[in-house]
Amino acid sequence: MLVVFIVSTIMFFMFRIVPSDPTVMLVERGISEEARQALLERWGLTGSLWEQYLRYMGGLLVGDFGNSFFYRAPVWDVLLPRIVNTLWIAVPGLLLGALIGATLGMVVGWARRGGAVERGGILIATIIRGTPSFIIGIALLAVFSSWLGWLPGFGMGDSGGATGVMRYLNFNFFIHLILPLLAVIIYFIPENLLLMRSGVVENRTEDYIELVRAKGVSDQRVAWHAGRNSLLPLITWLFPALAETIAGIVVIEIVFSWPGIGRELVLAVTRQDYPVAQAAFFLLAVMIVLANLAADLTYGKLDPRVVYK
Amino acid sequence: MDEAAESDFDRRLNSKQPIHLSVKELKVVYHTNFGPFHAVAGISFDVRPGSVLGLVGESGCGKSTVIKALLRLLPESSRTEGRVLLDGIDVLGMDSRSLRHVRWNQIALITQGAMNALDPVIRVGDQIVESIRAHEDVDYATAWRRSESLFALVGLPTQRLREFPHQFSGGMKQRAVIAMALSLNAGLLLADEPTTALDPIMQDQIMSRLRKVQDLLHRSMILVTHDIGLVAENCDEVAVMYAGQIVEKGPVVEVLVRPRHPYTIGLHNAFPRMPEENEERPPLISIAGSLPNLLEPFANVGELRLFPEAPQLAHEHTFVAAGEAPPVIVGNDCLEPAHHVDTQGL
Repeated sequence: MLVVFIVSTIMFFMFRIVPSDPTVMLVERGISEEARQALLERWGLTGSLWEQYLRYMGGLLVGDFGNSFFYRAPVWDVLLPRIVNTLWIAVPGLLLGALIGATLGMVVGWARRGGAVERGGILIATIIRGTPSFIIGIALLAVFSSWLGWLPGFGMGDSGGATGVMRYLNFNFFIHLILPLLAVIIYFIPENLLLMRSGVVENRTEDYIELVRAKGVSDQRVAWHAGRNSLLPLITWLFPALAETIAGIVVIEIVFSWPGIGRELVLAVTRQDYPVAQAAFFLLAVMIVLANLAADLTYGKLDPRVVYK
Repeated sequence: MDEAAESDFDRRLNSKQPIHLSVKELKVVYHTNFGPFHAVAGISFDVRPGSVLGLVGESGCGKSTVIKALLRLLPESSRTEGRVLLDGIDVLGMDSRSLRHVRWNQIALITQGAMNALDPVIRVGDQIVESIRAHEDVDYATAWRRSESLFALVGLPTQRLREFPHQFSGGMKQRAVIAMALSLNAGLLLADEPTTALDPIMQDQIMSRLRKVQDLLHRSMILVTHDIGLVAENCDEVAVMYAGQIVEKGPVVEVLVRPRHPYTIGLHNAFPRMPEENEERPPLISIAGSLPNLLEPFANVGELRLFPEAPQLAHEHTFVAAGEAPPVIVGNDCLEPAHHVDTQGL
């Protein structure tokens, strides 16, 4: 809670420090002074900074983010569909990325030390990890969209008038989903892979692994023990890492013109649409706090030694 | 599985015979960055069915390497030669399928349970069940009930099967490891320093438990330790290892009461004794020097330790010259009477 409070406060003042007047940019020229004042009042920009701040925080408490300058609509109405769009690429992307990354890390970690699998795996993972997400996105666009022409690389596709859930449950949406989702997965795999690998490498020399091997179980089963124990550090890292990953997703959303919350955040900042930007940051902070909570809870499930009092 | 089938499973396991282990010219070389390291330099010994062999020696003499070599648990960077015969069948030449069958079914391992021998995130009971179900086609419930009887056998309350290793004390973990080693009633038990990390009272409890189990099940066993007292109490025969070799072996009474090899004498002296009544406390004689460098086999045997507290030994009986292996003494017959050992005054 404290974190969320501090973030929203900082965000509020940061946007106020920027020495520009949104009305200049967003309001039609030639508007009368009275009309401008009326607009400022509606946007909550009148009164001293403290009055504005208190009004804003008071609104937050009841879930009111104010109105967007740009869309001239409540922030919630603007952001909610964007959040849903982001979740479509973020949640499956992160889950699949973690799953694939951890599996590959398991394989690379269990491979013979110094062998081709280990060397190759680490090399490729490090290269991808060092690649900025927009390069991954552009490479995917270049190959599958421009060169092969298999998949669209722009936007979410035409809804064809569908609304509600049906907006997402159609073929057109799915083919638009593939490339950005793929980019998120690829972007997220290497860190999972490397972390899982180092965990497995560490665990494979532990005493209990030797005893498991002596029990005469299959090699896969021995590896499973090492992997099961390596999951613990992976989970502690995974959820907080979502914060960093969100930065990567922002970029991917822009590359693929995916109308998600990350892209909206960047647009809002350039448009000086403070309420939208503040709300987007606020929601990201909430997500990160929730992610940390989820990490703690998952860890307690995975490691019997962790007890919450 | 019904009661009849379950008791059939138990009967089948309980009718397993102890194994005759015969190790011939076992050599283990670790490949290190500094060249080959000769951890075990061609040793031979037998464990007769139902008997207990004590394998003693100080840290680094190759005891644990021998144990791991018997189960083929050594890292890939090592090379093992020689023959390990289980009732005449060579373990070292086996394919991985047969090896899996041998592990736990015929040779079970008791490691230092107090440390990290059990998987920390799996329930202890499930780890025992895993060892059973890896080899026997029985359902989970049957394996669990067998785990319960094993826990009872080692003196642990059966409800603790549901707990995790960190909820166990060191002694309890050791008992759990022993229970697991008995899960398939393997014909040969390898106990690798089962009590080293425990306090003396717990050591005694564990060893008497192990003796009871041994009286009940008559397994062949190798007990690896650096504690001569444990050997005296628990073993039928003893093999003394030094620098990757067995320097003396034979029945416990003979080797311990009348040690012949200078190293055995040193080991004997280094073990504290309770003074008799009205007797002064006997001096504790440590073994001077350190192990020879095993990167080159026996190039440095000239540096084998002397016995400063027994000058007559040091003076007369320096070990063999460089380049030769130390002599081996079996029973009371000195195989290579390269030197004379004067036990007077020791």
